Amino acid sequence: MFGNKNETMPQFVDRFLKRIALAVTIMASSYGSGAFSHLVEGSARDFLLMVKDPLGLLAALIVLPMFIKMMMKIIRSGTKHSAPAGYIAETYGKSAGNGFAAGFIFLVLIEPMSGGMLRHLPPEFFIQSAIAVLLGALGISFFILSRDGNDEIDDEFDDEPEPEAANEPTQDQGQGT
Amino acid sequence: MSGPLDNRIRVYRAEHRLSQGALADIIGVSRKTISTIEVGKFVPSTVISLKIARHFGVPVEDIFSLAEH
Repeated sequence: MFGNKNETMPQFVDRFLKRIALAVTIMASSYGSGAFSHLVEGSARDFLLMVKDPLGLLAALIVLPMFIKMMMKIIRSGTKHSAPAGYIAETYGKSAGNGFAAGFIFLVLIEPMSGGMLRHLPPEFFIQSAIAVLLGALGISFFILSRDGNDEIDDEFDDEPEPEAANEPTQDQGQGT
Repeated sequence: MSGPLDNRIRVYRAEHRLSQGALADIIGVSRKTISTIEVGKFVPSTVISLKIARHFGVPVEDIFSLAEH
């Protein structure tokens, strides 16, 4: 959860993207709570309004420490991070596309209803629900696509030197002890 | 290999006695990236492919080839 000191920059970036995806999913819950609060009344509405802001705060708290750490690493190294995009970065890109598609489809589906059966609802409901669907689809898609499979076990070979180095005579061999 | 791209990274790693993590450090990606390339789950970018080939000192087509079907 907190990483380790030997963590490389690509590993850190992967972890950061996973953390962002978690925060995005929590933000989706926050917006979803706000949207649903327009559909219910009484204590349920009070509860949804009560959890909405803390969820947003939680999402920010999840990302902020790693964001600061990321900035520190970039400043300390004095260079931009130019590593090629790996599996997690590509998965995040795909998930963002899925999130956009889901949000767009949701808007297309809900648009005809906005003048009909949902006419009584305020504009915030439509905005909050669209954002919730978009972010929720992004987060869920990311966790499905990046779930661990049979690629989790590192194939450790013995930590022997590479063949070129192994063929070089060592001092011990030369001394013939 | 389940993806559209066959690869022989594991073979070359074995020859060079390199773990996935060690190769990932050399190439500048995460271990997850190397492991997902090996199992055919992730098709690497041209940059990653060329870096892997350059490290092993072979042409990129020795490591990567299109799957037969």
